[in-house]
Amino acid sequence: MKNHRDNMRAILSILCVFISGVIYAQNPAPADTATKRILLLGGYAHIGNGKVIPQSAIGIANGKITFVMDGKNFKPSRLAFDTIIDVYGKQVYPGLIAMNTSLGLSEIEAVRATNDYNETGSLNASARSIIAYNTDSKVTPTVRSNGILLAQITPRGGLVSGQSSVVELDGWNYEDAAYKMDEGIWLNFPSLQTVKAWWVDSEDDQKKRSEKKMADLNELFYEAQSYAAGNNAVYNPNFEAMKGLFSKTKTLYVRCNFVKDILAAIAFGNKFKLRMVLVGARDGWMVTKEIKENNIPVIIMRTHVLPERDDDDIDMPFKLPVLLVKEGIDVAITDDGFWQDRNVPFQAGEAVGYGMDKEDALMSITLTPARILGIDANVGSLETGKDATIIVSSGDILDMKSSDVQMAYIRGKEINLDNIQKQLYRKYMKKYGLKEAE
Amino acid sequence: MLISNGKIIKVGKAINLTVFKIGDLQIIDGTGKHVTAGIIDEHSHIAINEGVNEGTQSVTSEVRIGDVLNPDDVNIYRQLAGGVTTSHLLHGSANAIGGQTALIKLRWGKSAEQLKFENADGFIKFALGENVKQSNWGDNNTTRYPQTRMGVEQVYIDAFTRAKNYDVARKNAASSKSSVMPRRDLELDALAEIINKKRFITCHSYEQGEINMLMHVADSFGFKVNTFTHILEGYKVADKMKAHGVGASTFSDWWAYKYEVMEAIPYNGKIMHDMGLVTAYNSDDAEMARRLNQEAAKAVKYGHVSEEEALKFVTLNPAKLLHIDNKVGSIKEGKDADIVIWNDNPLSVYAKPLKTFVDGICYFDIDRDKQIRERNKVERARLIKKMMDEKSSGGAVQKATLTIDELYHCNDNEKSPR
Repeated sequence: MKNHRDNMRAILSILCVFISGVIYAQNPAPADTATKRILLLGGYAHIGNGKVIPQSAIGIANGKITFVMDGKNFKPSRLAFDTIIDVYGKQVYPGLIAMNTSLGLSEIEAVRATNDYNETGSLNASARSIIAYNTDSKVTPTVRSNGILLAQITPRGGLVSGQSSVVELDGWNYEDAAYKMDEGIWLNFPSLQTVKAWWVDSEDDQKKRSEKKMADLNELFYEAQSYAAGNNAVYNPNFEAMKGLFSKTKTLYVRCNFVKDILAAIAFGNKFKLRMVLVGARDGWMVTKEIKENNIPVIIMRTHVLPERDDDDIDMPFKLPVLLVKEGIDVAITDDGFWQDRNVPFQAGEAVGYGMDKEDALMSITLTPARILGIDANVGSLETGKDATIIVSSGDILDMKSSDVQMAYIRGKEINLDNIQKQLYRKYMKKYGLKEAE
Repeated sequence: MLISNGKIIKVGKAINLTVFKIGDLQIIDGTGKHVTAGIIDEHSHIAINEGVNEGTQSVTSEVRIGDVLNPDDVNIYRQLAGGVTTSHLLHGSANAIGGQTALIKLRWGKSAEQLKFENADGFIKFALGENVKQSNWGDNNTTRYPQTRMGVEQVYIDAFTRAKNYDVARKNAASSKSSVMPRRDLELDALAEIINKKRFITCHSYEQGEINMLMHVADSFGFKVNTFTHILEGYKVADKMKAHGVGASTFSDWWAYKYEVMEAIPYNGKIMHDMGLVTAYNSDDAEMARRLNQEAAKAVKYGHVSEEEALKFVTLNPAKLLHIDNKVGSIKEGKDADIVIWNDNPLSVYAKPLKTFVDGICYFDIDRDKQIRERNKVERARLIKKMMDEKSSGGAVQKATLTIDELYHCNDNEKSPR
């Protein structure tokens, strides 16, 4: 009998080793439902709305933030919390929000089979990114490890690319991950700016092409507007998807960069009375008055780009956010990719060196995206009643020199910040007998 | 720090200035600022005219980047503003054996020849992996040899065998009166230089197998690979790289853009560095090249490399890889005065260069840049007024045109028509 039990134990331990080896290169399992009452005590809280609390006390229960207060003299009652976490000397932030991303829609850029963000044809209003979103992308945990906890999954290409959705970066399937579905429609505004370069056709041809696109775009929106207003005998998927634009329950995200296009896009949005956001808006500094008086938010895709023109100020992309923010325009800073999104906090940090206030830079990757997405009632800042979607870093999250996300919560659930890159790191450190520096 | 005639003369806590007449000295107050050596980018494609890949054959060792320099590329100025002082300009990665590289200092305003780094060792670009086998160029690019990694090794063995035979034949003919001198072959000349350890290889590489392969091929012909660039799986064969004596010039955190980079990790630099390899971070990108100081900071973030060692990833280590560490790469008496003054810790995202010196000449000054912008504004207004006056007095008009220049990356193989 004893031998049998020993054998079983031996078999079990071998099985365990085998299983842990087999599941080596996997994403961590999604977090369990939040049940714990947690206190984060002593951390430097960056609320996300510009305010800070140098030594804070943050309470979490049932997935919500129950309080955010000055924790200097806070004496926690052991009975009130299941877990008290000492975060003295650390920085606490709202979970970061990355807009305009193809995360989950692309796994390997060069491999066509892994790309699901660009449908063929130019009018794809009905195409929905959420059902193509891969919750099990190996890339997503690497982005999450730098503090991004929510993302806007965005289609690209064509004239009207499709519909974006907001997801939490945790979930067994797209329904679990979805935070707000089909909230926006994406438009690549036909550019009136012709260019001269050896790899494009003649300027006359470019102009004709743009004019045709503009005509198609106007026709699409007039018909969609009609459809939205009336009873329709025939169901049209594109027009059905666009209905929400005319009741302003859906947002039109317009990609454009040249100044002429920005003005034309604003006029277009006003013509159809749409809730509109400018995406890119690289020449936006030239027309801040028009953007502001129409209350249009701006999403900046990367500060880490080169200036558009040879004679543009060399630091124009770095200072663009502050040039807009100081005119009262809502600015979100993000990237234009997927794996690159782990650097979104540093895109925001770049603007700080060129005049942006640090807490405003943080807001551009937390509360402002939440406001643009219409989810700010529940997320985007460390405020009572909002989701306990929080990150803790040992250092300044906007600076690559000091950013080090050590803890993350999505609606109160503790998130495993491991990823395949950390696994490979440990594997080879072990192979070479190297020790991790403290 | 005392600089004179383009060199660093003295570095110390205090320097005796009494030997100088005050009028002879330009004194820059660096209180509260940081000073580093100029950044060296081991892998760049700026300042190149009309194409970065001679993609017609897989062996094109005869072509030279030094023949097609463009000193008017504004990215030279933009990168000075990012603290870069020396750039290694490479042929693209379309070919197993690409063209000879050019090493330049960012002497903005000088001619193409004047950009070249004097007396630098000659380098040549090799490449391995998907670009070389045209994996991602569509269905019309499936016939040029090699199309698999197997073929890549064969290309090298064939090329070096031909080069060795050519080299031996020419040496024999030179020393004997009887044998006929084989005709000059520019492609084999360059390869023979590699065999004779007069030209050095920087090889675009990703997967551990191909890295290992090239080291073995080199060993079999009696030379060493100098640098593996990109080298995103270098961490997997760091022990073998160490034994071979090769260095690494990599990205801090790029991945997921091709299949061969799916096991790239941002801890790559740290592991290779800890294994004793000379490890550098490069750009291969005109935008990122202006922020290499921030890329170096990622070595601190991913793997906790010390700040001093991380800064070396973009200064002394690339200098060592390029054999120019006797002249640049650190602030040392006797070295070239290639220096950057920063407003903050150079590894911080909040830092920016205030002044960038090359050979002791201030090629970028943040205050002068502001003045240049004002000057340009005035000049633009003057030109516009002149054009409008012409128009109103009946002169011929034409539409304003926005011209765009191409930014090159390793895999750009389009031909610009002339």
